[in-house]
Amino acid sequence: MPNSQKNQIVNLEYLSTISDGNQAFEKSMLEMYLKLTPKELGKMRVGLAESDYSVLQNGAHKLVSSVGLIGAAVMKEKLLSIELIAMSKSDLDKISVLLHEIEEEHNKVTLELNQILNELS
Amino acid sequence: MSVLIAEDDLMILKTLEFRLKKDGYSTTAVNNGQDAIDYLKTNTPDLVITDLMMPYVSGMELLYYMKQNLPDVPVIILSAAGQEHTVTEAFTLGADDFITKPFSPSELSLRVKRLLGK
Repeated sequence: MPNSQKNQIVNLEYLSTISDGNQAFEKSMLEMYLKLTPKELGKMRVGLAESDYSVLQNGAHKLVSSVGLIGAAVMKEKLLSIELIAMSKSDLDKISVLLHEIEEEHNKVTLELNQILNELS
Repeated sequence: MSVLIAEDDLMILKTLEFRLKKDGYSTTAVNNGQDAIDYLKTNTPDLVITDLMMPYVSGMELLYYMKQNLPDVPVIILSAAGQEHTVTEAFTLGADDFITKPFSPSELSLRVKRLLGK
């Protein structure tokens, strides 16, 4: 994985361990993240609009694993918070703030992953 | 040796598939519990690895199906932090082992190897 030292938002060490240096696999995983994550965040946004705690909890739970693969630590921490809050069906306002922060962080992750993908191709 | 993997997170599913193929296993990947059960109606893998939280049919329901219909096929549960209670429940239902996400490749290899006696 090129230039992993200078990545600010993601940490691809875990992905490198999994891939054993297979760059084609690493590339496919990064592309998959970029393709799937906006859809999952969109579902959570709908869940929030409909006050559907179950959609929020499941969406956050699912994304925690994906962001963990690319080492997006800030997103992971905030998703875990949403999962916990949604589980206790407590504070939609807090979830709303967290989801907005996650979307902003995802934009930064997207920029960085696109740079990495450019270097890989 | 064949492994059925049931996981609704496509990235985790592909990661597991990649590692298991690297270890020499043939794999079948499905992204929900219902597809896993449909597959198991006509196929008998040597091992099943399943996530707990999946749409339509959960990992627990899939485990129950396995223990009723294919009791000799070992099952590894994929869990996340905070699911300790569910993992305990899964062991009560007959799960053979569990792996916590994010998994370590060497841990996955060892646990699969142990259950398959490879």
